[in-house]
This record gives sequence, structure tokens and C-alpha cells, in this order.
Amino acid sequence: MAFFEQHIHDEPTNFLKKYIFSQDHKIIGKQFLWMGIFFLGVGGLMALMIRWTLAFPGQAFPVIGQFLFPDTAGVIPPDTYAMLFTMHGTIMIFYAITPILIGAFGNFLIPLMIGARDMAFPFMNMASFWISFVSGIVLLMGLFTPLGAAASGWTSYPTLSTLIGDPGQGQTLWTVAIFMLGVGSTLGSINYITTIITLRAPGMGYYDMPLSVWGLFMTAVLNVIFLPVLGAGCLLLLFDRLFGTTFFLAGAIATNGSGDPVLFQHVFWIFGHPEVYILILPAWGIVSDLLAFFARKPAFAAKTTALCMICITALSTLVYGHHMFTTQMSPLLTQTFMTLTMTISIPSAIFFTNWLGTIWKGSIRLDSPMLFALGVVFVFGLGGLTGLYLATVTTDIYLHDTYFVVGHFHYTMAASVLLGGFAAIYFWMPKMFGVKMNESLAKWHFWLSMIGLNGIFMGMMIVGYGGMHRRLYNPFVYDFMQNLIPMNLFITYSAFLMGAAQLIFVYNFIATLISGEKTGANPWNVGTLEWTIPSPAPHYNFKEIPIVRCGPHEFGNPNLPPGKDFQYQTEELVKV
Amino acid sequence: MQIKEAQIFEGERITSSIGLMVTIISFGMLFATLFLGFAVFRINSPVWPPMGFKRPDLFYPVLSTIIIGVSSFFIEKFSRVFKKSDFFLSLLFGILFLISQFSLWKNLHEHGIFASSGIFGSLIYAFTWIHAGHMVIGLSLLLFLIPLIFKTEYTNKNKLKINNVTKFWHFLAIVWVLMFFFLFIF
Repeated sequence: MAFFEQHIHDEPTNFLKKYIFSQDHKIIGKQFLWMGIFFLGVGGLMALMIRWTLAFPGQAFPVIGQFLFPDTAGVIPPDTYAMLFTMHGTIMIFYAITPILIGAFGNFLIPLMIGARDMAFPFMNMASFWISFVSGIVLLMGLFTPLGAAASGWTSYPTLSTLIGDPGQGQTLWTVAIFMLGVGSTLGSINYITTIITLRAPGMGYYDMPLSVWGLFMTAVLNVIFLPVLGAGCLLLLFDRLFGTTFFLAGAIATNGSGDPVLFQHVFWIFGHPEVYILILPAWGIVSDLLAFFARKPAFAAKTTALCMICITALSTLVYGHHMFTTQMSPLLTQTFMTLTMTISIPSAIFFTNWLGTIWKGSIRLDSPMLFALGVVFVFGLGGLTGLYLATVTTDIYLHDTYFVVGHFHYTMAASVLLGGFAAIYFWMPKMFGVKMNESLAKWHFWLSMIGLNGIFMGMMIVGYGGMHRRLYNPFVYDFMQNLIPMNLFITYSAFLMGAAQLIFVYNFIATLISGEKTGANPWNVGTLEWTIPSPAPHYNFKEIPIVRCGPHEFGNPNLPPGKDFQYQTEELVKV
Repeated sequence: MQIKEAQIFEGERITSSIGLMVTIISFGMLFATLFLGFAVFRINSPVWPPMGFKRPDLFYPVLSTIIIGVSSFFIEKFSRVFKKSDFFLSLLFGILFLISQFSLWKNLHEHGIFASSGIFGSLIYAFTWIHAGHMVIGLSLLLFLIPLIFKTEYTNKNKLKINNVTKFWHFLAIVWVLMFFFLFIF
């Protein structure tokens, strides 16, 4: 229920106000989308370079290697390798996934799906984008400093990330960039929470919100509570680097005091574990909706799904210790964290069962968004199951910091979120730009990506189980690793396949924007509020604020008139 | 028409108070993390202050506490009776607080406590720096209110803005009192 109705403002006429410093949530969403796709490309290229080094150590990176690494004739040097995996992680997590899923779709979908004309604080929304944008530039600036970018991993553990471990400006810029991005995301999340609480259309209770909004809501809650924790950690790290404080310096490194490097790990993971749920929750929400939309069935136990999200959100704040089992934590604590982590399986399993319940006996339409959504179900299932081995102390001690971990978190955070993001792009493209993507190219994109990413991440789990450590420049200097060379070759070929598949997407995306097939207001026959207005969504969305009378997934109601299998949320639920 | 405007205002009131609450939770978590760090160092150290440091002189911290309390008091008074002089007194004491912080840092330097001299100095300086940074944000919010202050009559919306800034100002004062207690007394 809306507490009040927002005014309809005039559409700004000058270019700067309309497209650059726009306060319209739809434009800001698109700005985030462009930024996210750009960084996805940068991060992806870095991933290919990492894979190249692991498959063909000592060989020049093809085509662009000569220009990027002229000193070594195109071979990626060890210190650059460390920068690459650091920047790959940072860019993908904070500058690709966060802008696409949370920035772009959060901004675009929340007001449209709850029937509002804009966010509660449009100016803050604009500030959120521009702060994130500047922080992205600050991060990239690190690549052009004399000693190169940050090279201590995306986790930036001290003492690697202190002046002793990483004396260059790159790490300082990294810390500043992450702090700024935190400020930007927090501003955005304050906006999301306030908007969802106060601006729901009349008649829309919390359980009438589409599950996408639920996912974004929970994400925003986690963001607001836990990003400042990382912010504080970054500030202290920055003081350590710039002003000589000794929070994270210990032993012989600290000339005059006794800081505690492990404290940073605590602070980082207090934020970092909720962060993985921050990334996955919007994708979960979107997939829960899409499965119902394309199975033409009401989402199975939608209320339970929403409650599970709340439950997972709450539990995710209590389990961060499982990242730190090997830091000499007291066994009492490791067991506590292990048990709490295992507890997350319960709501997750309910959640997963609800997904299967939704598609069970549905009349499934395998359009491209549905394919991607089903892809998420598959890869998230695998990712979630392999998490159990890392949650258990006894197995984690052996798997810690191996490629098994890398495979696991890429399945959960990278593969599922990426597929979820693509599903969302394919699905909401008509509403965002008024055009529909080419279906057959989309299907090629899906299948090649799916084969590629499963090859990569399943391969990573196998080599990780075989003992290959993450972050090593050339693990094959060890004899016992020789047998894993063919597997690493396979992973790299899969990675290049996956990279090539994304070119199809880029081509399809650009070609669609230029000369795509125009669509009507509701090309997918879906009843949520954003489909009641023309495509692309007009300035200020709803001429009249809609009144919501039923839930978001009312499909296949037997009482509906023949030839119609869905109803809009603005219509009274059809009864006999 | 009257009723509709009242409704819109009510909506704005609720929206801004929810927004402010979420913002303060966010800022609160930042400071909570700092206090977590403090707790870790404090618990792990058998004696406090560690490494033979002496407790810093209490004069400036106490002065700062009094000043920020007075500033908070005046802005609270202003948000109730809207007397212009109260607002400017509050602003003045806000600036005085920052000056007292600079004096505190100078005083610490004179007693040989530097940011780089071990964890005790690190904690005091980092906490006060971060808090002072937030005070600058708070002061700019107050400056942002100045155009409103000179209006002859305050609309409900103006009062709302004043109230929200007041709450944020109190939040900063509370954080300072906690810092004062933990860093200088405890």
C-alpha cells in the first residue's frame, strides 16, 4: 500500500538531464547495465588471461599479448598474474554482478513491479550511480600506476595488502575504490528499502510483490547492514597504508606495536559472507519468478519461498567463520560455524524444492529466459551441494584454498548469477528498450555458455580435489601436479568457448538495439504490473497508480475465459 | 485538496523517517565495526593502555564531550521552538567541537602519542578521524539548512528536514560519547 502518490514530473528536455545526470530510475538502471556489461568484458578478458597462463605457462598471450605485456614479449609475468586474479575477482563481484543485478535490475524493476512512479529518493539514486562510476574509474586507475594494480587477491588480506606486502599505489586505489563503491551501494539500498516499504501500489501486500522484488529487498537489507562493515575495514586498511597506524600489522613488520592481521579477515568475512547472498538473492528472486512465468503455473508455495529468503538472509549473517577454519580458530567456534552453515541448507533445500514444484507438470515454454532460468537451477544445485564439503571442518581443511573452492564459488556466485542476469536481460529487454532479442542467437548463447561454464567449473573442482592450489602462477613446477596438465588444458579450452559465446550475446544485444523486432506491451503474457504499461516503459511509468487485486503469478486458473491463461495483477482473481 | 496535501506530507514524513532510520543503521554498523576492533585489541591485551603508554590527558576529550552535548541540546531546542539563535549556537558549537578535536590531536602529539606509535595511538586517532569526518558531513547538513532558517514561516516540510538533521546530529553526539567512554575512560 502506498503511503502517498508521487507527482508526475515533466520529462527533462536537455540531453544532460535526460541521459547523463538523470534521476529517472529507468535511465539509472540502464546506466548501471552499461557499466556492468563493460566491466563484465574487462573481467572476462582477465579471466581468459589467467586461464591462458595456467594452460600454457611461458607462452605469449595470443593477439593482444604483444601490446599488453611488451616487456616480456606477450608472456604474462608472475606479478601481473597476481594483479589479474585480484582485479578479476574485484571487478566481477563489485563492478559487474553488483551493477547488473542490483544496480540495473534493482533500479529498473522495483518501482515498475510495485507500481510506483519512481524511487523514494531519486537524487540519492543518481548519486549512487555516479559514486559507483567514479569508484570504477579509481579502481581501473590502479592498472596504470608504476607498480601496477592491487595484487593481494580480492579478499586483500593483510599483511599482503599492507605497505610491506604491496607497496604500490594500486592497493591504495583499490581500497579507496571499494570504500566508494560501498557508499554508492549503500545509498542505492537505502533507496530500495524505503521505496519497497512506502511506495507499493494500493492493495499490494508484501506477499503480493513478485519474488524478484523480494530478492532485491533482502539484498538491500544485507547491503545496508554489512557494507559499512567492509567500509570500516577499508578505512582502517587505508589508515595503515597512508598514516602509519598498525591495525593489521603484527610481529616483526610492526616496528612499534601489535596489530592483528586476522582481525581484517574477521571484518572482511562478516561482510563477505552476506555479500555472497547479496549477489545471489536477486538472481534467486528473478529465477523464482521466471520459472512460474514460463511454466504457466503459479509459483509453488511463493509465500514459503519469500520466507525462506528471509530465513537465509538472517542465517547468512551468522556463518562467516566458515571462511576462516584454518586461522587457528578455536574448535568450539569452528563446530558452531559449521553447524550454523549446515543449517542454511534447510531453507535452501525448501527453496530449491519450490523451484522444482513450480515447474512440475507446468506447460513449460522453453524461451531463452526460461532456458537461462533452468540453467540457474542446475548450476546452483551443483554449487550448493559442493558447498557442504566446504562447510564441514574436516573436509574443508583439505580443500581450503584449492581450486575446489574456486569451482564452488564460481558455480554459486558466478555461473548462477551470470545466467540469472542474462535471463533477466533477455526477459526485460522488451520493457527496457521496446525490442526483443533474437531467439535463436539467444539459444546458441545459452547452450555454448552452459557447456563452457560447466567445463570450466567442474574441471576446477576436479583439479582442486587433485590438490591444485589457487593463485599459483605456475603450479606445474611441482611433480605431483604434472598429471593435472591435460585437465587444465580442458578448462582453458572451455573458458575460451565460454568467452566466444559471450560475443554472440554482445552481437545480439547491439543488433537488437539497432534494429530489433519491436514488441507490444506484453510479449511474454505475464501479469505483473510492469507489463500493464507500454513498452518501452514511458517516463513516470504509470499514468494512474494501479490498484493491485491479486498475486503476481496467477496462471492457468481454470476459471479464466478460454484462450487466456493469465491475468494481470490489477484484475480481480477470477472465481467460478 | 487540503486533505490530499496532508496525505502527501504524511507520506513524506514516513518515507524520510524510514530512510533516515536505515541510514543511521548503516552508519551505526560502521562504528560498531570499529568498536569490534577495539574490543578485540582490548581483550587481547593484558594491560590497557598497552606497551607502556600513559592514558592521554582528559582535558580535551571532556571539553569535546561538553561541547557536543551543548550543540546537541541547542539543536534539540531549535527543533522544538524554532528560535534562530538556537540553531546558530548549535552550529557554532559544532565547529568548536572540530576545533577541540584538533587541539586534542595536538595535545596527543605533545605527549608522544602518534598514529604510528602502536595500536593504542592507532585506535584513538583512527576513531576520532572517522568521527570527525562524519561531523563534517553533519556540519554540511546544518549549512544546507541555513536557507530554510531565514524563512519567516516554516512549512511542515521544512520542519521535517530540520527534525531529520537533528536526529542525525544526535546520532553523532551519541557515537562521540561512546568513543569518549571507551577510548579515554574505559
